[in-house]
Amino acid sequence: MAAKELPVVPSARPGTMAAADMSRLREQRPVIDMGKCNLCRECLLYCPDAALREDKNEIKVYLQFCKGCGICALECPTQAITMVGEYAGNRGFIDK
Amino acid sequence: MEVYKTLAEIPQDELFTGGHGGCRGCGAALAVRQAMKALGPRTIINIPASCMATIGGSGLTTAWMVPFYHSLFECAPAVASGIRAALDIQGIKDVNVVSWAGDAGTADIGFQALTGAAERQENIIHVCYDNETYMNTGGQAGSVTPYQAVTPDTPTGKPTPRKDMLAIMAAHRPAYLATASVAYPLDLIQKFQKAKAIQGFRYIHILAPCFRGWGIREDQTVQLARMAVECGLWQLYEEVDGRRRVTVIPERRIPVREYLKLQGRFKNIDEATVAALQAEADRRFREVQS
Ligand code: SF4
Ligand code: SF4
Ligand code: SF4
Repeated sequence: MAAKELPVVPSARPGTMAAADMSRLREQRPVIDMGKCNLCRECLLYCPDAALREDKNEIKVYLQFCKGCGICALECPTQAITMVGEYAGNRGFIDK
Repeated sequence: MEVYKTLAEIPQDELFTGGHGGCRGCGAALAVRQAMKALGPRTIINIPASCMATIGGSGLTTAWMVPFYHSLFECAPAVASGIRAALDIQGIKDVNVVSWAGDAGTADIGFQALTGAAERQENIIHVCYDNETYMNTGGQAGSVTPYQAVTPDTPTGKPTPRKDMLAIMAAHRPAYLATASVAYPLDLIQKFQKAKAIQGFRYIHILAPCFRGWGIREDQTVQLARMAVECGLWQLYEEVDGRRRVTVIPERRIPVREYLKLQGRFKNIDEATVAALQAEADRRFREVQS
């Protein structure tokens, strides 16, 4: 890792925030219809949270990082992404 | 020099990881994520007080995979100059030294350090991620906040126009200068690739909307960044040795009104201002065509 040979403020180890789980912030999650997706890869670069990856010609959502902003769904040119609520019922129980 | 030509060539490695502390749909975090695809692991980042300084973590955890230094508000370009000097003395050449500031750390509070570093032609890249307000302290107006935008301390709209930071930085004759937008990632990444290959002082100014400050929905960050280009108020270009080249001519053109009306902060904007902004946008489009 670059940090080994470059000067760095002696504090946190690189990338330690990647262990955090953002699911508690999420009110909705993206669901991708690979039947509609044309693998244009735009969503990969529009996600502020690095929650989307392409793996073996499939776009995968890493829910640990996804905050549910909905940018990917709004930007997808083929409307392959739908945002689905995380909560069920009027008392806000989390349906997971 | 070789730049990525398609999105498929852009690496999936993340040098700014998920799990960071940005709000949902944060344009600032998105700008960093895109830029790091070009800057790569041999990069030292220095960020003054700003949302971006806190989004990437604290002393205990961090989303950065590269060395990151959090400096005081006034001095990111000065600190970056010092980091470059330290690398030079050690004979380390292949490292990008970047001072990455918000619009406050660039155009206002950080300006004296920035103009100094540009005048000395320091071998650094300064990036301004511009959300047009002081979001880290609650959204106060700054010098690049647009005319008539409502902010907590300009409740009836900002009384003065936006300062032209690009013209000010161009007057320093930097080795490279560019505008970018989070809605055009390939263009943004190509500009960072070009900047990286040039020695000397480089300045990149990214329009990175903040849904809180702009009064938009959190899923509209990219949409508004694109509409700013489509309406002509934000032009994407680069300047090498003072020669300007427009890099993106939008496929679709929209009236500035369409861009402004989606944003809560422009609820008080008057018709004369909309007409003046439209005239400015029209003039820019004409310049590109001629
Ligand atoms: S933006 Fe839509 S079509 Fe493009 S890769 Fe993502 S899901 Fe597929
Ligand atoms: S909803 Fe937002 S955070 Fe989640 S994958 Fe889409 S763009 Fe990324
Ligand atoms: S306030 Fe705006 S710029 Fe700051 S973290 Fe939130 S979305 Fe990003």
